[in-house]
Amino acid sequence: MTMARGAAPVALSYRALTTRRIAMLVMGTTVLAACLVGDVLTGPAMLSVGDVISALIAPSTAPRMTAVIVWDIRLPMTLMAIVVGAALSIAGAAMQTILGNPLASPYTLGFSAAAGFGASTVILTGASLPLLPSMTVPLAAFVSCGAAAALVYGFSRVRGMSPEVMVLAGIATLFLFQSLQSMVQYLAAPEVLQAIVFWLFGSLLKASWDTLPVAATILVLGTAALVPDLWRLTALRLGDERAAAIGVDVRALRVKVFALVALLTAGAVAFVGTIGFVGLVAPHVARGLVGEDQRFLMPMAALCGAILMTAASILSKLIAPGTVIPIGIVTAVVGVPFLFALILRGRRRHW
Amino acid sequence: MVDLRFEALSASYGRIPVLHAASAHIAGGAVTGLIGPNGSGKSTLLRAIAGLIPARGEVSVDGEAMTGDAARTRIAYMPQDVSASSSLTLLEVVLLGRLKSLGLTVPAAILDEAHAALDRFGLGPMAGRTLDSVSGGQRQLAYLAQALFRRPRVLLLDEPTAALDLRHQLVVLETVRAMAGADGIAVMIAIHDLSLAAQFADRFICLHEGGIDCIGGAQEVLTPEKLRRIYRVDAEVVQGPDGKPRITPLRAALAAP
Repeated sequence: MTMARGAAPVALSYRALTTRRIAMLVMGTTVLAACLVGDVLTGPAMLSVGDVISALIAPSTAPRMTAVIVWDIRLPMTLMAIVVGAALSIAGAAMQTILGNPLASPYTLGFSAAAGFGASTVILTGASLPLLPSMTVPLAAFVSCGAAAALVYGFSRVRGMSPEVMVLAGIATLFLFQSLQSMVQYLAAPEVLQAIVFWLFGSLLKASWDTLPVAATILVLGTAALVPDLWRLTALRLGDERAAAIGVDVRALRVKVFALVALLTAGAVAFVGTIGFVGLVAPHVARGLVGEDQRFLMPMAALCGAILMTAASILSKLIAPGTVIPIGIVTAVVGVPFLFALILRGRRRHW
Repeated sequence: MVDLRFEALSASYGRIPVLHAASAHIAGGAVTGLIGPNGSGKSTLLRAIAGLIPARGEVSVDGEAMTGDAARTRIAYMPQDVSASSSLTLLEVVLLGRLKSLGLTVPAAILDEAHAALDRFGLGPMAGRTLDSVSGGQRQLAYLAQALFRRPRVLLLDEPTAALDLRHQLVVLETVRAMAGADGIAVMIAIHDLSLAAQFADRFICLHEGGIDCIGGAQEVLTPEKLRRIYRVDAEVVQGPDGKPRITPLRAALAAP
């Protein structure tokens, strides 16, 4: 019947949609590349573009100072911005999908607050790991984040992992860890308090070639574990009952993805401190650009998160020349206009 | 011809039993209307057959016990609720019906078939529209297209015509009946509109207070006495020109019989 006539245009229009989505991914990659370069070029050291490029290309012949600034300070910061932005954004996108809630993000469910509590406790007590002192604070943040996830999971399990209960448990966890964190801050001496507050602001200055590979590995493993479930995640957008009816084990999927979100978030915030907003806004931007098919949404979310972080990083160095404002402060400033633009533009069709 | 049996199916929500010991045998190639008042257990029975809620009892299709994956591949259940907050396109909604055939790319043959399923309900030109930009009725048709696209052996529809205009009510029921006839699949439809049910269903299962009250043809089940006892309404039942009963509800009966 209509199939003979209908078949060709469909394959075509779907291919057109797919092509458009891939074009978006390519465009995102290009913008990210530009942000990467821009981020390496800017900084309080006021190096010229030529200095930076020659230090990048031939570190051995460049002045030692310049090479150190470019290779050991700027590049790890830029790459960490990309890793953290991508991880938080993927975590946020996955969280919004499994909870069917546009407000969900690793930040709104208390993961970041928990990381902050873990880090500030260790800073307060001055504890230090015997072999890896530089990893003490990240590890504490990571473990505390895991504890928050376990808490939310424990609560939600009782009620069959329903999204509403998970969101409520998450918000309760957020308040709990925020209070605990305030308590730690209250008890801290002024100079310790300063260290805690600096950590809580979230800053890329903590990035180094030691921590970067750890964060990147967590990002790669966490993301790879999501890949087999992309279509099932897409199916979840139809609602639990419909997803179950077409063969998705909704509960198991939610538990698995929730654990991966905790891992990705912990891996990101442990090394740079609490950075909000990226995990909330970047997935929305990505969804507006490529739709809800998670095969495209996840990579696009990663790109948007990385772009937002690097853009915020550039801005954090330009606001007050000669200083670097902690990026956690800037992400919201950059992110809010994005989100408003998205809301004002309203819903759009995808093809 | 498909052969669907369920034996002593019981289910409860928490401690409240909603379905007790429902048993029936449903032959393929025909449409079975599942009727009964609100809260009589229609949706629960369909979900229990589809294996979507914990239930005691047995369900088999062609002699094979339906558990987990076997149920998912052979039985398609379409829920009643048509609300949606998703911006998936209608084509994507249909594609999801065959979750297992979808990889990182979607084969062209699957795409064409998904589109043909939408075309069946006149949604072909809207394949690229998003779920949240179409009407409730159009969503219902898209979900129905998804159910057909799965090529199930058993099709369980919960109020498939509730959100539809007159023409689409007929389109849906005609399509489903044609499918039952052509492919020999077993179809069960929970439905409130008794005249429409009488027109399209070959058999009826009437649920009352969580149990099967009666099973039979329209002449046996749709009688003023039964409607009064089960639905607590006074209704006029007349023979239509096609020989099928037409039901006109007159008034809510005041007292329980």
